[in-house]
Amino acid sequence: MHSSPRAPEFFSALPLAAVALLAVNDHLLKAAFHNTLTGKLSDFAGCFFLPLFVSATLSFVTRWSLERRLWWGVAATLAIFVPVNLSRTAADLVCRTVELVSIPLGIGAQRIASDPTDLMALPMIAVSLHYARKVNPCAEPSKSSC
Amino acid sequence: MRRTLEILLLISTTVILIATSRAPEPCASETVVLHARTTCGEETNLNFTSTPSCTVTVNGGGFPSSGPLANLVVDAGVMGGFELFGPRVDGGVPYSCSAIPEDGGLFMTCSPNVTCVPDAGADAGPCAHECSGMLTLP
Repeated sequence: MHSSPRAPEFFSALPLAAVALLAVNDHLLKAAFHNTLTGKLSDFAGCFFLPLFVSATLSFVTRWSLERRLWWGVAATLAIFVPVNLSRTAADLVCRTVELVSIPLGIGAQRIASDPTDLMALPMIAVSLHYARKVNPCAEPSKSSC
Repeated sequence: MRRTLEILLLISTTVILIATSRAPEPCASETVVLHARTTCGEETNLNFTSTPSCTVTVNGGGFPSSGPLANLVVDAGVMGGFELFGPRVDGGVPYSCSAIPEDGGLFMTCSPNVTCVPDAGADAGPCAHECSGMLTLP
């Protein structure tokens, strides 16, 4: 019997492709082209998949509904993305926090560039919500077991 | 099986997110073989290794074993110069060496970090002298 993914809002083609795009852009395309497009591509990909990633993670540790998980995903994305692009202090705080994990793992120190123009990627969050409701059968109000 | 795969995808995404914010390394990690023809030691080929922390290490040639890249200059993989500090491979007093780009390679000069007082008597120990020469591609 074929089982459905627990959180199809993240475990589906588009969000996973966005994750891959982020990885390829940051490790290959930026070094090769370092232009405006590569500078913004990761922000657009991140604003799209991050709310879905948070939602999927929450589906493993909670029994929350899709809507509740999605809004927590949106809140987490905004709480990180907006301050780090508006404030050097916030960016440094996020870096120091992530380094609690990244340095022991051998990934190394963190540095995030604060760039208010990156906020133009925020509308991707709305795209993310629309996508999640479209692909998730639990988005229908009658499916209360979700 | 599916749940395991989903968990692996979540973990992978977390690692990717952390890795994208990794601070860039300011210097390249590479080893260059240079032919040392100096008065500091025997004429020989030496491995000069630069590290992401912008230091240069070398073993031999009569030079100190490590030091910083000068002014953090690394242009298209070519070192713009470097310095070495510390005792030379045969021990003795610490030296400071500077390798500066010149036509055909790098010109290395090394000076002892202690003042040499000639004729100070037998108890003064051997006098350390400056040495210099060229580092070129073999």
